[in-house]
Amino acid sequence: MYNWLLQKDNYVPKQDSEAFLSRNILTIVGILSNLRRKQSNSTSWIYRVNIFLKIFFTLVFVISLSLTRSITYAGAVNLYMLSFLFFVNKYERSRIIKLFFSAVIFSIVIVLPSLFFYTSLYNAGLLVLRISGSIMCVNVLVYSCFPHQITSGLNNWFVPGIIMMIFDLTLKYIVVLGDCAVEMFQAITLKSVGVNKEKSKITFSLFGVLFLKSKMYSDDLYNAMVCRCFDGEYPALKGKRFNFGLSDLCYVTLSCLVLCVTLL
Amino acid sequence: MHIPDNYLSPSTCAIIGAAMVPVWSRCIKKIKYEFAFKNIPSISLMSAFSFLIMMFNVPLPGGTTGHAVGAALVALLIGPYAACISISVALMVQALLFGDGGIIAFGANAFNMAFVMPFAAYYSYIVLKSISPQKRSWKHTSIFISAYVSVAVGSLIAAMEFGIQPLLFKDAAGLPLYSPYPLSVAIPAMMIPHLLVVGFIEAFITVGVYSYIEKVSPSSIYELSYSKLKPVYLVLLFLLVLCPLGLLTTGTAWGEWGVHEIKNMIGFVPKGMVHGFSFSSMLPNYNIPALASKTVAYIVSAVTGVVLIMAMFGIFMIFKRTITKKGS
Repeated sequence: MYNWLLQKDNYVPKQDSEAFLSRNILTIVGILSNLRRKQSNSTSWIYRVNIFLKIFFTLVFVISLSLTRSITYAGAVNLYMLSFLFFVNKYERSRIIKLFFSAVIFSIVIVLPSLFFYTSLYNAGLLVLRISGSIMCVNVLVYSCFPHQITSGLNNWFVPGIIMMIFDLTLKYIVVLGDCAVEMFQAITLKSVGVNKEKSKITFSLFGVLFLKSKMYSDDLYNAMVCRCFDGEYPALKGKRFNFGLSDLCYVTLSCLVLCVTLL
Repeated sequence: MHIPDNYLSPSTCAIIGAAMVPVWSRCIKKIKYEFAFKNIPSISLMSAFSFLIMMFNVPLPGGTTGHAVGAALVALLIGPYAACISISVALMVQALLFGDGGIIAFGANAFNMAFVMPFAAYYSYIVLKSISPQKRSWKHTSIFISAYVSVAVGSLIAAMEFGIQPLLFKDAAGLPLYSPYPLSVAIPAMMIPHLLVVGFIEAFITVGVYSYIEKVSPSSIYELSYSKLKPVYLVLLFLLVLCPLGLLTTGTAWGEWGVHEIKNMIGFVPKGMVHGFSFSSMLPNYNIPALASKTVAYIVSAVTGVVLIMAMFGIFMIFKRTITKKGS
């Protein structure tokens, strides 16, 4: 055995910034896990509410929030939306809370300096509540249903079939391309053990590879569509029959109560 | 640059959203022509690509990271029309599924990021590249500058949208109802970080990725089409966009003083001016008597002026075409 093999090696790796690699992986994995959420995990009534009603009331609340000048109404909508936290799954709950607090802190930071200009605490508070309320409305919609439900929900809103098809395909290919990106980022991470000064350059190549892959997938998809007699027409499938159940009744009653009590 | 709901008034969002309808319509027509009926898979895949580009972080000096919009890159790779539609779809996915960017503000976000940015990048690239089309280094410099310009123009438009809110939407006490910062605050607040950081990130990513694709698969890149749009129209469009900056100014431009202002300045009014030619215009000093707010009157005057010039130009073109037809 050679002596140098037995000697203790004091290897201290040089400092190398790899934060962006792990951050990218985490971001994309977060997006993918959001898109891959399974309906089977959910038992609460809020998941059974018809998506048409959810989209309708979300729009009503978002529009009414932007029009309101009443801080009571904005606060009530915030509280109403926060009450849904009791009915969503643990993962969704943590996501909604995180996004709610980020929205509140961000809007406070943005609005705070305006107090030096206008000294109106009421208007500043109203703006913060309106922003956090509308972000909560959208997040409650997003996390109380599943991506495919939103696509089918748009069907009931007379969105043209072509737009729905593009939307649906985009969601599917975000997952496909996202998986590719995660694999490539993991490969870069493995290749960067020690020091890798070429990381930034490789990242540009990664974007390029992703673009070329998307071109390739696009051609494959087009060929598959032609093989399935795609002729350029996109008839939208008829949505499911509208069944008004107990969960729908609860949701409509609660939403109407919040709207009526605070507006009257 | 994603504007959440309630920073802009619903009427601003509605107007900008309505302005986007003809843009989307034109882009869809153009894509149908360019891609034939391959358009659906192409748009979907490019939307997914645009979405992911917006999500990626790139390393920045000092150990931090930042992310690009990718509008310039997508515009140069697939053309501005396809870029407009694919970025719009990506923004729709972000708004509806991730709560990033508002639902009511979707039109405004699409206007800034899916229309202004890709078109600004694409046309500035065409103009810059035409200076020295053969030089490879100049080509990359042009891409760098055009990506930077796209961020600068996009952020300027977004800042203007924010900045006109306190001028247009106030409560009875005169306090702002939506974004509280006037143009004098909104423009530097938006422009400084975008010009110092985001613009450079966008430019570096665009040049890096474009060079890689050009090297590996040059046929995948969109072929530049020199449309009939002359640079002078771009300049006019840019000046049009800058119109609201006039709201920041105070006083009268040099040499454009009225009789009262001259009296205040020099203490008397020259005789020739007292009895000189006097014309009372429809909108004196860009004020409209029916509108109480000077700001609204200024914007309405600007829109009226543009519409009148375009109408006169249209009539002139019809007249010219008729004469040419008769002559032939």
